[in-house]
Amino acid sequence: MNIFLYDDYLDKYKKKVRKIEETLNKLNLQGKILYLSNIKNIDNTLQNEINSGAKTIVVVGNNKTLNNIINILANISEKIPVSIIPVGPNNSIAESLGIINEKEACYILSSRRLENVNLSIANNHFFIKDVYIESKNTILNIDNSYKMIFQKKGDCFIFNIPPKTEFPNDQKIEIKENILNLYVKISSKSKTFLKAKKIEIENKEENAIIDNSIKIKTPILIEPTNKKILLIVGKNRTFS
Amino acid sequence: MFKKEKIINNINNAETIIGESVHVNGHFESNGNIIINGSVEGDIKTKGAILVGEKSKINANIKAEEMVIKGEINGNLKVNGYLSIKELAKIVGDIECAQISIEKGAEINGQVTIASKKSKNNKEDEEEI
Repeated sequence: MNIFLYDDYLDKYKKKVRKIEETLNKLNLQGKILYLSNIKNIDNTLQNEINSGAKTIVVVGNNKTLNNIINILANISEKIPVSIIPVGPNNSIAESLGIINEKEACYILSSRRLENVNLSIANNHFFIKDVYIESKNTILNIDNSYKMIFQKKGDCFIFNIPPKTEFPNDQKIEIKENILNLYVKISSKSKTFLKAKKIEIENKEENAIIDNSIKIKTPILIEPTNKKILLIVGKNRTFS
Repeated sequence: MFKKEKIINNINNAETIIGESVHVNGHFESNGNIIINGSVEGDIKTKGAILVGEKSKINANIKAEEMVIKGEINGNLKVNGYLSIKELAKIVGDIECAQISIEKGAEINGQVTIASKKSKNNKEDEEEI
């Protein structure tokens, strides 16, 4: 059975949600709907659903919803496919998985194309896509071997999986197991790119943002993990 | 195209790029090609090639397979293959390489030793015996 997890904010998108449900019905993808606002202990609820034979967890929400669910599933031993139906803004993870909008997400769910994706961890928080921090006054300790110091304003990303669309005229970001990709853009002339196994971030003024949804204070230690999550992805999206 | 030029062009497919205004401090090691446009202090080692950009300032000893220098380096260089020193380059330190080209205008302050890969290998073999 498919378990659909509806985020609280979907109240604002009633029309869209109705359309999603119509498409799912048309594709014969019915299942059980759980409203996150009604659940007191989501960890136990998910474990019970998996024990009762849930076939797929479908997150209907945004980056924050998916990141929360991934952090729970990472600690559950049974591997269950996870899918996202993106609704509203802040859905860059869905985009990275090759899912552009809610309608397409329903068809992708139906196609059930699975990819095993390694998770990375920032302090004790798992993430799928990236950690972002403003580059000014950021110090990165790379692989305990050298430090990179950024004094100018710009964007600093540490990718677990890169965005689907590559940065134009830029370095190709490859996905390799147990490797993080660092990308810092200060200007069109100043771009830094490298691969690392471990990155520590320090910035006394700025917080980092995990998966474009959760703010955390530095210092932050970021490392790839051996935890894998089975994700349903769009066509032409591979992670190996 | 000459092999040397091919190597230099391939540097653009670098695995690591250090951008302008970025400062690196410590032991910097890589298996692939590196482009440095920022500043580095410490030491740099790679099995690939290094391109030191015009605006870069490096205070480090460097070991690489091939190298193109357009910026400033304060440190010793060990290049297994071809080293190309461009017109705006300024180097303070000793250089060891197998092949070298130096453009008019480049500044070098140090000892330059040029030994072909073959003779280097022979020397190493002799030392091992």
